[in-house]
Amino acid sequence: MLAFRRSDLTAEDAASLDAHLGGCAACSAAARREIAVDSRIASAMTAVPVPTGFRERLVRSAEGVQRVAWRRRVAARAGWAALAAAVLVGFAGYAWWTKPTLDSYAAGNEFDRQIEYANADVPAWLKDRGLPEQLPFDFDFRMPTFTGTGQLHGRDVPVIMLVNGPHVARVFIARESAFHIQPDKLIDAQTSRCKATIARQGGFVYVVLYTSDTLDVFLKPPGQKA
Amino acid sequence: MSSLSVRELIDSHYQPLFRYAYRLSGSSADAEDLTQETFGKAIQRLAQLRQAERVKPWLFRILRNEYLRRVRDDRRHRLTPLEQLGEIPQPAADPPADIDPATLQAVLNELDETFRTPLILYYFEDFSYRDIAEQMDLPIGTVMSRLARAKAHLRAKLSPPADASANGRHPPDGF
Repeated sequence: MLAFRRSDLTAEDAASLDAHLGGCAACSAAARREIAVDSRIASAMTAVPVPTGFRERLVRSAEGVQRVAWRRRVAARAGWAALAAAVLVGFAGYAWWTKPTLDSYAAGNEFDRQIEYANADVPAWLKDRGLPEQLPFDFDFRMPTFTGTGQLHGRDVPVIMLVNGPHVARVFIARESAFHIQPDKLIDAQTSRCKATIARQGGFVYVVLYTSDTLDVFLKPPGQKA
Repeated sequence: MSSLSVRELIDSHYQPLFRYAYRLSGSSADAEDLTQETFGKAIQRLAQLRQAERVKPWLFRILRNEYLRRVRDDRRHRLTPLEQLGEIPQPAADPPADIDPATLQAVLNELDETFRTPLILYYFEDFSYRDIAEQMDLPIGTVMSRLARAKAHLRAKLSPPADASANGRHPPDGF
């Protein structure tokens, strides 16, 4: 019955206990005795004099702890700020040092180099993509040439584009396995703005679309043919 | 919690903390050190306290942990695990009206910390059983059991000896 403190009892249990104590003289006396003894022990338990000046010593000590904690916080924040600044300066420096200078002369030299090595660059590009290096036509890649991917009937396929004056030629390189091949559809053709020439070689279909009258304007001059 | 200043924290709790530390350690110097260390740790961890109304049990818990850390390897104290005592006989009389605080401390010092802490918290700061269980990371049933045994031991030790010549009995001994 007295194992619990009143603060640990629910309202129902407390009411039940009070009802019992109200009707049971023995338990009521035991409870009174229990409370009285507990009260005497509690008084003795708390009879501990606090040393004079202890509060002031505590406050001084706590202020010291606060100062140290504040210094640590400031030092930590300063450290992080310095690190962040160093990273920022590093990135800014890297961006500044690696930023290229616009230079018309250097750009011209680069273009010269591209033209000079164009005939070697395109076969290298083909090789990188697992395509035959040898094309069915002997294109002159010294003229402005672009390589990439283009859409042919909704499929992405490698494409080479050549520009000669007002004329443009696109060379689509399609794997035969990726398309339905019908011989009657694979014929040279002409539309209102361009012509189409087809070549099949080594499992690939080369679809050349060009705006000039003949494909010759995109081929190497006769004296330079390999 | 950040709105609570350190001075307010100290003013509100330094006296009960010191008394608790004294009853735990039995020494005024140790109690001062423990209280100071408790506030030092509390200031550093103040941001961790989510419920300002739980500051008192939080401080008491820090103090107890600090006390346990200090005495963990200290075997100088002779402690009596109450499990070894068997049945504690009921005292012939209640403790006297004026209990000598020094005698009380001597009896507390004999007890193992696992019994002393709930006893002090029970009498000292009006913690509920649930509070004590929470402080000690124990099931409430274990706290009740330890308290019942520790209280019986305390009362037996604090009560005046029965008239040995009249009934041939002696107060509990061997602590």
